[in-house]
Amino acid sequence: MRGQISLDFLLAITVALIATGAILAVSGQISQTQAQASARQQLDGIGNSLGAVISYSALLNEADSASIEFDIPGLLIAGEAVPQPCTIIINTDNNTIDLSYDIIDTETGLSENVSVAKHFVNPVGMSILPTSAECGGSIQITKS
Amino acid sequence: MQKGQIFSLDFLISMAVVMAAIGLVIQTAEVSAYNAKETRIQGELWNVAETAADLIAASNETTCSNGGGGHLMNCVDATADFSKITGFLEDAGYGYSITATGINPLLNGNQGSNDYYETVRTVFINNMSGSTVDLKVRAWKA
Repeated sequence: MRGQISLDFLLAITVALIATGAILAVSGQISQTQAQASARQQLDGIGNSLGAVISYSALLNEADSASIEFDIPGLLIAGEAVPQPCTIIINTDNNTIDLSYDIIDTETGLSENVSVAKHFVNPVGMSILPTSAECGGSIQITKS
Repeated sequence: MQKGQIFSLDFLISMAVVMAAIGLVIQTAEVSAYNAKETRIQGELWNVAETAADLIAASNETTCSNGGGGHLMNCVDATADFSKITGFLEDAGYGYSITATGINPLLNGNQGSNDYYETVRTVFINNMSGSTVDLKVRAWKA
């Protein structure tokens, strides 16, 4: 009938809206998962590198004096213009490095914590400072 | 379309194609995440095994004394205390086997069918007058 919207058209619009919503939800979930995986991968790499540097510094524990400086890279996060700081805590009592970063979900606004723990060989006799650092900062290992 | 028919064949085919496309995207993302995880695990195995092997071959606690207060790299003292290095592997949650002719094997856990990473250092045992042996360090996720 003239001026009447057909059932087909209404159905097509409804299905298109549902499909679009589903696709957006899936793509949002995928991008959030990818952002977490990317952050975890970067924290993992930083933890491995920092753990290795601390472990290898044990080779210098008989030296009269020695100094190693490790520059920690910042995290590259999608949507952020500059490398982001993460939290790094070095515990020489149980020889662990804890790295963490809070990712903000752009859709919900909620933050989700991504954390990684690494172990190292305690370089007895070496001083590690600071024991709390950030991605983008540096760590100094010295023997004096 | 016939009377009483809700969906046309064109519509059903297009929906099937859309669903297949969504499924493909999700599967690709899952495969990508799995690969990233595997790469991360392999990277960790590489990292701990190489670190342990380097420290055994070079650290002051495990290498031969030079008699003057120093130590000789790539000369492993078979009587040394390896617990600092094996403790690192255990604390990090890895099974390991460290073997070389002239050294009591250091073993932790059963490798079974787990993926592993093995690295080899060519070292002397106890003194540098003999021939070299292969020091094999193998690590796997326990």
